[in-house]
Amino acid sequence: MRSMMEKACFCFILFVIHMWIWSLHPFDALASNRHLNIAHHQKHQIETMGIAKSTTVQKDAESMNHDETIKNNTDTAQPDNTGELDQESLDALFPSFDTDMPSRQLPEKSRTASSMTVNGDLRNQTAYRLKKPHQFSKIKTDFNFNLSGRVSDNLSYVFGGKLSYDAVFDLTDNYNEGVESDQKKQTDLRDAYVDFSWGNAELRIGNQQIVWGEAVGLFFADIVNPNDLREYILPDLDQIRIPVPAINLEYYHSSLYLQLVFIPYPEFNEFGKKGSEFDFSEPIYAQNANVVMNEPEEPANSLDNSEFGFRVSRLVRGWDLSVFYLYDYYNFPVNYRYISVNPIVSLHPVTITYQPEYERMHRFGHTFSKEYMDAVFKGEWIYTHQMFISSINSADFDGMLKTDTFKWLLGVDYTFFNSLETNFQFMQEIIMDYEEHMAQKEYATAFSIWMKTGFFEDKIEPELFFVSSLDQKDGLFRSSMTYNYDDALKIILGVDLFFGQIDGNFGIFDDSDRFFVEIRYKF
Amino acid sequence: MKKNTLSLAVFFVCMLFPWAAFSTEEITAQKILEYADEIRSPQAAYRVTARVISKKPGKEDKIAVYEIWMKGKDKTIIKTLEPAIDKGTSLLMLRYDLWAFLQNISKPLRISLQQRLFGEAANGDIARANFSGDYAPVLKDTITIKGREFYALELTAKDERVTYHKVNLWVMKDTYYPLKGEFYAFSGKLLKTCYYTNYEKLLDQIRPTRLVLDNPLVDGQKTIIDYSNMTLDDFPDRVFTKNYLKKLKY
Repeated sequence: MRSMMEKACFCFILFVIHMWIWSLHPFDALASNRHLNIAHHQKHQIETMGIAKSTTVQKDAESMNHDETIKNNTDTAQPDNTGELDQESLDALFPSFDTDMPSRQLPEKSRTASSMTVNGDLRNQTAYRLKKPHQFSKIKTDFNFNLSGRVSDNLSYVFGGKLSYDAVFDLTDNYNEGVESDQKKQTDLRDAYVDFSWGNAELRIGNQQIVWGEAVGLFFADIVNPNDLREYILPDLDQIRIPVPAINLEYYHSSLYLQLVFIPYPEFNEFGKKGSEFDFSEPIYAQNANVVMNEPEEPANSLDNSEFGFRVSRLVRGWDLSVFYLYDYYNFPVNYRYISVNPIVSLHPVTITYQPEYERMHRFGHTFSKEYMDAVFKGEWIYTHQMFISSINSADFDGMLKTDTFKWLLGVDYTFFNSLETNFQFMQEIIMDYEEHMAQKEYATAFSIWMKTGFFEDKIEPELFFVSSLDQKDGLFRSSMTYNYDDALKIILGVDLFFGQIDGNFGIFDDSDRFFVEIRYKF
Repeated sequence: MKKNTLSLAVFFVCMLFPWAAFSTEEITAQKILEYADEIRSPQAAYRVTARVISKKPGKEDKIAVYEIWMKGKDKTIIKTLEPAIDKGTSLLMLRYDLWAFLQNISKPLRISLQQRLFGEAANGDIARANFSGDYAPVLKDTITIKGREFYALELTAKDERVTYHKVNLWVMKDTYYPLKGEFYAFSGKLLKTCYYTNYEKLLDQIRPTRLVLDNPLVDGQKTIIDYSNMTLDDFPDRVFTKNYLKKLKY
């Protein structure tokens, strides 16, 4: 009797132990259970693991058959019936493993990577004028490169540059020496900076692009960097923007972002020389006057001329909101104008002397974006204190008036038919204290449309951009077709067409319509 | 003496193991879903490489390679490593908000939820699907197939902004391995079918390392996602913000 009791107690103890094992987390239970029941999984050899680890294209055929097996067999498995998966497909889905199989777990990754990566692109764009004189305007090759790497978990770097050569100056005599010396060959330092991080803060020091705003295809709230306008706004935006040496301090706290920008020495827009394809001074020389255009004198590289700005942004219930402020030199020179009367025998009655100077101003603004009903709504506005507006009153001593201005933009992105991407933007600039002698209208309104789609698995991608001023009735129409030859090479054909009066933002280049071909190789 | 020793042993065993050990934890649909989520994706922050092969009958395969960073259930970054033409493009997914960063624009662009259904974000969205957080599950059935038992779950989106309104999910009973998922639009149209395959041990857990996505809207179209190089990482929160996208290194 007593021995029976002892046996019963021993069995009871074993029962309790077994129950305790199964009360653990299921995964822990599995780990323990494996030691009790290895037969739960079949044993396969390393070949199975080899199939599972396939990452080469050559194995795609196998995996296709493998997947077809899965698909064919699981097709019969309907949600509301007990359609069966056959043993082969189940085995394929769960290749067995040996319990002694070494784990593929890798140690926690240190983000300290000393290797440097190099990427960039080589592109050639050749353009031909559609209006007289019919001639090549550009046969330019650009080599963009970018070296980046991480020195430690908190320190990384980027060093980028650009080499350019335009063969149109050697192959033709279409442009004067001044334009040739300005545009034939170029070596530029692009993004070149180091990034430090500590806590929630990030510090970027060096040549960089600081991009604000939500607008597509236009520089609206994108006001920090000057632009290379020698081809106006036709190149890619990252090619137009001129990186500036800056100290960029960022602080992140939950959904709040704070950015402080300090630019010790200002940089300014670059413009085409007289006689170039996109010469901003051309309307000035069209006047019935003797014109003297002085070169703008850039402020000295001194901390007295430094620039400062900040931006604060936050994501609140899907609303991406930001406010910004910038105190800097306006990137366009202010063309002060002085008129003097010429002697009667002179060819022109007056001499107009332009003295461009760079002036400081305060600007602040706001941007937002919100996704709603599969559309993205975005907007921005900028208030400029004491913007310079040209005067058409010849009695005005220096030809300039100062007033505050308010610019705003509203846009929407939407994809139609799941394939046609579109963007619509409506914008306006308002002169707050308008005077009738101002060369600019009190309300200057414009709109833009952008569309892009793809055919043949995005092998061919047509794209269209149209921007027009409703007041000046001028605009720019851009159309292109991209052929994605392979994963690295693309060929682009396109036309850029300007229209309107010479005093318009786009009509000024009405004679510069062009057809272009671009080949771009990315590495 | 022996009797006392035996009694003491029984008493000791009973004290060591709580009575709860005798009761089996009742499994609910929510628990099944949570376990399946843990199988698919570690709960800790991690990064993983995903090689995506897009197949269409009669057409050349398109291959892309991404590095995916994940933190929690709502924060995802997808970095495009290949092909070269797209290298440098990044995608940030914060629950229902998406941004894309393109190198030639140098600023993040807000994109719509619609992009989650079409384009590369669609693949990322299925891969990171937060079932237990976004869906209310119902255990429809427990079915036996060739001697193995599976839970058949029906998941209904808790929020209208969730990409797929309904998901049918099959989960293996004893291991909680997800086997197959059917993803439906609000209209009831089947948008994607996902097979979770090639289970391997990654980060102390057996996980599916291959997803096979069928697109019923396009005949014969299939996408295969192979995962590798899964590692833990202590990403700071600021990494998963729109303003940090420009700092991602390639």
